[in-house]
Amino acid sequence: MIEASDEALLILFANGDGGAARELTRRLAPRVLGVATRVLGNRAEAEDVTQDAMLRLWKIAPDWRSGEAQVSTWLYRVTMNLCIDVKRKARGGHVDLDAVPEPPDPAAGAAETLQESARQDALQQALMTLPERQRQAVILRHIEELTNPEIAGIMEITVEAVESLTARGKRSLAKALAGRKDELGYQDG
Amino acid sequence: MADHQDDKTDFEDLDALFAEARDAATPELPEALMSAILADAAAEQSSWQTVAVTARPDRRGPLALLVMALGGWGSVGGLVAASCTGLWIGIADPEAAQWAPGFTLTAANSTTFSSAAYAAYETFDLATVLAEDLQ
Repeated sequence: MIEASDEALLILFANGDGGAARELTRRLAPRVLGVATRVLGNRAEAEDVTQDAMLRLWKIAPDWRSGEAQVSTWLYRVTMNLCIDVKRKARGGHVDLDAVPEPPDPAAGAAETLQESARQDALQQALMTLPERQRQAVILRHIEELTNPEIAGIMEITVEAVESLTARGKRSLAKALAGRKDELGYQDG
Repeated sequence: MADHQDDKTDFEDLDALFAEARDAATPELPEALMSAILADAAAEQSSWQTVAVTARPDRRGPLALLVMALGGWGSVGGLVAASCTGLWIGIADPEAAQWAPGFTLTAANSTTFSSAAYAAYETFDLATVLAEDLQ
């Protein structure tokens, strides 16, 4: 059975279909929550951003221009802008890294889970040291696995600018994590 | 050279970290958040329906509806003109009708009636005709 596209579901939603809202939420909201959590480093703020981003999707539905943009790309852009707004409002305050829960993987052993959790915390801490735009570009490229042109569309910059941001971001991350290899379970060499 | 090797190793470690992050990148949506998002969606859909319902009542009066039924003000204008002309022809002396613009020419070309001939029929009594037919 062919799965309806995000855009088709959005049109159905605009026509009053409640089931379309549920399906769109199931497909898109977890991704928004994931990327917002990474960018903000705070789960509670990320949940607020997710609800806000989805609300904007519901509001745009009746005026959605078919074929102009992918729903997911549009939603990523809204999410990134909302994250920037949150950061602007919170500027001057500290980032609560403890507020980022890493869901435990029941399949992994306890020690392995702890090690993985420590690595992800370290990655998150390193990500939070990057400038806002660098962090967004690195997350979209290396964790969300979007293409450079897609990221350029989301961040409204050129592909070359995306390449520059991700390269610089990756170098900074590697430097930040270099001294923590033993702690993270990586062997030198 | 050694620096390049270190960089390469650092990036490999970083790629491994990204791969782990990808596995955990799509978290499960908390039930409360799911409910809040769907409640927003339902409220948004309701607001469109409210707008549609409040916009529906037709505020036009009966005259406007009659005009609409007759095909608009253009049609009504034509209808009024035709009615007035018919009324005028009906109550005026038929001879006067010949003075109406365009009527004279038509009458001259298409009818053989003269005023005198028409006058002869003026006194014609329908009852007399019927009586003759019955005989």
